[in-house]
Amino acid sequence: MFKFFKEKKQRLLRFLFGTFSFTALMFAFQACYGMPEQTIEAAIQGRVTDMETNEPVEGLQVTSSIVGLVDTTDQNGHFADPMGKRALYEWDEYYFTVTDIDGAEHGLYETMDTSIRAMDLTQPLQLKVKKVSDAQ
Amino acid sequence: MFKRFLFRVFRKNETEIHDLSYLFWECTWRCNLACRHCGSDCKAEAQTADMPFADFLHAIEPLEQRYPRDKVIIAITGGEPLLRTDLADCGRTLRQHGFRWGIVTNGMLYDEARHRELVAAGLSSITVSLDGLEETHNWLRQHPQSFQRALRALRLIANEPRLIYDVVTCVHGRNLKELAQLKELLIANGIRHWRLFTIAPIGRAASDGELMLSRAQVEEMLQFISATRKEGRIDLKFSCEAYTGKYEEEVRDSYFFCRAGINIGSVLLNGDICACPNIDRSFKQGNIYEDNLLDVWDNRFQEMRDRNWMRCGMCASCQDFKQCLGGAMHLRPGYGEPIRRCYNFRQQGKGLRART
Repeated sequence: MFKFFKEKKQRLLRFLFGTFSFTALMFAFQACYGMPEQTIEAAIQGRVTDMETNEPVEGLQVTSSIVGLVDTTDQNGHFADPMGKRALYEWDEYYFTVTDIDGAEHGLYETMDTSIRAMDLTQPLQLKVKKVSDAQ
Repeated sequence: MFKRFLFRVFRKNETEIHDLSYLFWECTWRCNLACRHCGSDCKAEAQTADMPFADFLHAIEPLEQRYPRDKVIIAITGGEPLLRTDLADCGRTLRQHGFRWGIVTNGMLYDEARHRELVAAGLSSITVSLDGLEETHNWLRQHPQSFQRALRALRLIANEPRLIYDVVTCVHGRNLKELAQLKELLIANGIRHWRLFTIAPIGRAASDGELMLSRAQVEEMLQFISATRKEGRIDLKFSCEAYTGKYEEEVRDSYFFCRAGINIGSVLLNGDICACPNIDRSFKQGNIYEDNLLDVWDNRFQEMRDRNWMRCGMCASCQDFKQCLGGAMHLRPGYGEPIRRCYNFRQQGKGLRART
């Protein structure tokens, strides 16, 4: 039980550190005289759609524990990390948050949190958000 | 400040959990070179026989139950691991048991046939040494073909998308001024990942003062790393061998964190269980022929997980101790001993302080 809570704490701390340091590579280390840990290269990009209508959603801010702010979705719901591909530790898990930052302008959506393994970032992400109310 | 605070919290947490995720296997002491700076003082014909792979495999079997598949990476080192003719068989078996594996090599025997054999056996990560331009590298390695062989290996590796790799360069007085040219050479050959070391005063290097950098030279190297990282043409970093004070956020992707005994362990040639193989062997924690590796990992290694004892010598009054925790384990000659050298360029504005 104690080990269980310690591991939960570790996961939270990793999230915090990744967010504030803007790097996930803290967790991909190598020993002084060893070879690098296995990492993969992936570009953080994808599309955000409405959970019910499947329509793209504009004006959502996408942040991740890898780089902090990734991008704001365009009219097609697309977002992309302007830095392009990054080296990620394939075994690790990264946290993403999608936040409505323009209020009701393009519909009002709930904040969405999710975690994704690095190996799943080699394909564009498909994120879905839940609408709260229609734009006025 | 807040980032550094968070990092310390993170490090403390990692230390408490101390998952073993990086395990060295010192498979041989044989080596086909006699490098001037060798940290382990290897010989062409070592007096101790190679460790039978079955012994190592038996020792690590408990790890399969503890850790998820692919969580633990085995770093096969030596000596020169490519001298083992059964290396691909060892790697293939490790992969079948759910371990990732890689090698650290001088590249002398890494030709196309060996490359294909190892990649087919599941090699996932490799580090090759290149210690300067041709004349300098061959001088340090004491072999006229060593540069060309290492370059051949690097070209093969750079064109293999399944491999994670880097090139390591041990920086000393003779190659410090060549780093800019070496960078261009690496980039021209498609190399994207490069790591610099200084030479530790251990093994054969301990008696060769020419290999040690002065304070000004260390700072020059760190400034080169910082400038190269800003260029963004090659992924260059300083190794995790030392805390660098004001350069901490410029020369690596993350802060200095010596993970010896926290995430890194080793099985040495004679079966001794330790952390990194370059750590003084007085820090051995057990032996696979007498102890269970997992029991040793879980219950020993206390001097590496609680490093307050390192607050001695020049560390005793250092204001940065809480950030650096006494530096790298391999720079401690023994328990209770002061550190051999320090690269803290923030401390009192005095920069490098070396024990004399």
